Amino acid sequence: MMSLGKLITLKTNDNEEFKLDKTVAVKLEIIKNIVQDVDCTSNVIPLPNIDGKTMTKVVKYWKKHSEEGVTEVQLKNFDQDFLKMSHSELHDVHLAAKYLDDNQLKEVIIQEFLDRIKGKPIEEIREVFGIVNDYTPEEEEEVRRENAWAFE
Amino acid sequence: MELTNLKKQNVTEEEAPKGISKLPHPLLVEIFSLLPTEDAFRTCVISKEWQRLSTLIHSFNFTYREREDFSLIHNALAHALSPKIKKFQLDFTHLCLSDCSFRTEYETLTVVELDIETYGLLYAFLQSSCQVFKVMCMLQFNGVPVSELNCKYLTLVLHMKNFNMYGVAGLLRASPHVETMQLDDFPFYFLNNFRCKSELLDLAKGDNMDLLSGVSSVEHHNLKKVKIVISSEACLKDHVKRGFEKVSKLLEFLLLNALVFGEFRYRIKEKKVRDMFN
Repeated sequence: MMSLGKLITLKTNDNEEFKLDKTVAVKLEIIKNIVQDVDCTSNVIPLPNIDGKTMTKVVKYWKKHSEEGVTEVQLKNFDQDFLKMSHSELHDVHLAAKYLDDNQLKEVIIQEFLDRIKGKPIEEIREVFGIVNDYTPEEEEEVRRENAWAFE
Repeated sequence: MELTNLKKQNVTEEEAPKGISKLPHPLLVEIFSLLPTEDAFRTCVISKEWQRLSTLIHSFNFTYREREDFSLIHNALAHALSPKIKKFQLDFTHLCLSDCSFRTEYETLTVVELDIETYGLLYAFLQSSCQVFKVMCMLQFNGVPVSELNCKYLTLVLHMKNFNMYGVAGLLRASPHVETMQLDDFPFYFLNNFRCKSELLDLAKGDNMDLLSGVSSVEHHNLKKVKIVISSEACLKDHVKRGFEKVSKLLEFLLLNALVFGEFRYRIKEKKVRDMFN
């Protein structure tokens, strides 16, 4: 069971604090290194690149995924729910995962981006991602012609 | 000051759907590289920026479809600008064997045309009993003189029951720089879709070849790791025995030819198989 001594605190750039069981936190390469470097008595690790809103999500993910006895199905459902966020939020979480060197979370996010593009018609991708079509109709026609092989 | 900042933030929140176009380019390239290559190139018409990015993908991922003539692969590689190919995957899972009487146009694709120097990974997902391996050999050995694949990590997903030695020999001969070689059992659940037992007879000739005589001219100087993953449920059946004989032949060959052999892993994936049915 968790004991107080085993908690470490992560502090985001907007001064939000997250208390984490040390056994969870040190799984992450970056935290492990910081724990070794920083004076361990304070037990507070600053995360200058991550804000509280994003970190809340990351911690939520970590907690679920390190829960004891959690089943594959539960995790799958959790992930599905977890990933229901805007593109920019996803991007923030991806950056955080990158900074924290959490490969699993990174992959999950990239996969989600992938799913949002995969198999969608061009018009829908533009709409969903709010991308402005900067081709003139002639230019677009030409690009389509040049890449006709991919549209067969 | 603070107020403007707040306002700004609110605006960004509202614009959140625009997020992906603001994703850093390396991340977009990363995402595009995971898409089926066709889809990746289709994103070119979305905007000029995406057009440029789609040509930078570093991994290729093709799925064989009916009546494929490989022009797609030709085109994709011709349009790709990435200086390095990290992964090249040809998925033959959906190959319907009755549809695939051997056709000469397969010969037109030679892997030699790829920028092989830059290969990182060749992942051949092969339903390997039939023509597919012939095709792979054609891809690599017909027409143009073979240049070597600079592939360091070779994964073969083999149908343990009846993979074709000729194809394996071909791949090995072309990949002398392989450092890690992984043999995966063809996923057990695909066995149900396996439709062409009779065609196996066609292959008897190539299949009985002596691997050693087929490949012995190449020494695998760099081979350090061999991993074999087999799902045991499939192995226990008698008809798989033949596959095992071949695996052991293959191993014999590898052990004889690998000069700096360091690690050998043999894993039986029993649990996975069981899970699949639960």
